[in-house]
Amino acid sequence: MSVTRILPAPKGIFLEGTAQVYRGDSANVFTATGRKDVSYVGHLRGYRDLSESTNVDLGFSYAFGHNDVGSAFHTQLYGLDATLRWKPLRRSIYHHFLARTELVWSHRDQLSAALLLPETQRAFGFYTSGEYRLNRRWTVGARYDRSDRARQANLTDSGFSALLTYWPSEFSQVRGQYRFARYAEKQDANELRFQFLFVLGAHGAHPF
Amino acid sequence: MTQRSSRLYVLALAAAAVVTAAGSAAPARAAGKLYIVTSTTDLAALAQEVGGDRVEVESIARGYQDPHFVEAKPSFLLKLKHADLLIMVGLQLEIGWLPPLITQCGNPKIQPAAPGYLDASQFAEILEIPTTQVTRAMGDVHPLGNPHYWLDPENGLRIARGIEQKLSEMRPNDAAYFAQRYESFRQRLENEDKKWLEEMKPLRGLKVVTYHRSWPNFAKHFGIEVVGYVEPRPGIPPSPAHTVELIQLMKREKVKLILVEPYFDLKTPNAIARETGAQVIVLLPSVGGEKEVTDYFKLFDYDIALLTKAFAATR
Repeated sequence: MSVTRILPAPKGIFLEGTAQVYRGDSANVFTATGRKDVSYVGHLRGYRDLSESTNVDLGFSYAFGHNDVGSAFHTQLYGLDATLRWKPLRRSIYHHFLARTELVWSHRDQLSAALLLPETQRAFGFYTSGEYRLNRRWTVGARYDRSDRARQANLTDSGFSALLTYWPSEFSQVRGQYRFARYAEKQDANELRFQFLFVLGAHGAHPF
Repeated sequence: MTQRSSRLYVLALAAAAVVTAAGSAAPARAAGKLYIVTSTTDLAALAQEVGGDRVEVESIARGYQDPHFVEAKPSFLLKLKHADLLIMVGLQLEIGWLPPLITQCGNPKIQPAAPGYLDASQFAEILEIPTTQVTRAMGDVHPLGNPHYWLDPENGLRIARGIEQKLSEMRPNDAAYFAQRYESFRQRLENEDKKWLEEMKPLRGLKVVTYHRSWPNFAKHFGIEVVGYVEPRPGIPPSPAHTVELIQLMKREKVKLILVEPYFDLKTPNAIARETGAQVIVLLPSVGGEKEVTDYFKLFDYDIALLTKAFAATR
C-alpha cells in the first residue's frame, strides 16, 4: 500500500510525501517470517528551482522492517539524498551537469557472533556521483562509494567508477564503465563493464 | 502500547497528515480568473489573446527552449495541480515530458478526456503525416504529423478559435467577451498576415535549408521551399557524411540561407555556410525566443524581418 501526496509548502518549493506499507522480502535487508511482518517506508522529498537552469532535490527516507534473524529482530534504515541538476535551457540537448549523493544509516538487530546475545549493528554507507554532458553525443561521469557491511559494521568496502557514455541518438546509448573496488578483506577488484541500450516501441518519457 | 503498535500508530498518523494536508494545498489565484497552463509559449500567447483579463496564463516551456526536450520538473507539477485548463501542442511533441506531469499532478480537471484537457492540434492543418509505417530508423518522426503547425498564421487563427470555444464552454457567462476578443484577434491577424505576405513576396520560391523540420507550415504559408536539413533525420545529430551531402545539395540548388532554431548549436551550420557561401540565420519558432518577441504577432514580425533582410543581403 502506497500513498504519495504533494504537500503544502512555501512558494516555489515542491514538497512530496510518500508513505508505504508492504509485506515481502527484499534481498539481505527485510525478511517476513510471518503474515504480520510488514515493512514501512516513508520518504519526504523537497525540490526547488534555483534558477531556470539549476534545481536541487533533497530527500529524507526511513524504512523499518523485520530481518532474517527472526520476527522480533528489526532493521531500520535512515537515508538522506541530494541531487543538483544544471541544464541550460538554450542548449539543453548539448550540456548538463548532475551531482548526486545518498547517505544511508542502518541499525540492524541481530545476535552477536561470539556470544549469541542480541545486539544492534550500526552501519553507514554513501555514494556520491557526478555526470557532465560534453556535447550531444558524449557524457562523462564518476562515482565514489563507501559502505560498512550491515551485518558487521567494522568491515568497510569502497569503490570508484568512471563512466563514458556515447549517444548515437535519443533512442540508443553505449556506455563503458571502469570500476575499482577495495573490499574489507584487503582484496581489490578491477572491472570493465559495457552496456548497450536500445529503445524500442513508442517514445517514452525522458528521464529526470 | 507496544513498540510495534506505537510505530504503526505514528505511521498511520503521518499518512493521514499527508493525505489531509494535500487537500488543503491551494495557492491564491486571482479571483474568478481561469488558470490556464500551456505547454508552449505560442499557445500561451494565443490563449492570452482570447482570454484577456479573464484568464491567467502560464507556459511550461520557454520560447528559446527545444520543446521536444523540456524537463519534467516537479515545479511544473505545482502549476498543473491548480490548472483549470491545459492546452498542449499534441502530435507527440511533448511526449517525453508532459504525460508524466499530467499523471503525477493529481488534477482531475486536466486529465485526458476531461473538460480541462485541450489538444490544439485538432484545430490545425497538419502537414507531413507519414503515409508509411514509422520506425526508429527514421529518427524522431512524429507518427501523427509535424507538430510545428503554429508557425502558419492561419493555424494560429484556427487554434485561437478552438480556445475561444473551450473558454466559452468553461465560462458561459464570459462567452460574449471571449467571442469579442477572438474577433478582434482575427481582424488584427488577417491584416498583419496581408502585410507579412506582401513582405515575403520577393522570397516566394526561395530555397532554404533548415536545421530541424520545424518550418513546413511556415514555408507553405509564405511560399519558401525547404530543400534539406542539417539533421540527417529528425532528432539525429548531424553526421559528417550527411553534412558533405548537404553541402553538395546546397551548391547544386544554389541555397543561400540556413535557418537554425535558437536551441541548436551553430558549429555545423556555420561550417556548411563557409563551404557554400550561405548565410546562417537564427529564426525563432516560438514566442519568447528573444526578449522583444512577446506575442504571436511579434513572432512573425521578427522572423519575417530577419528573412527579408538576409534575403536582401544575398542579392
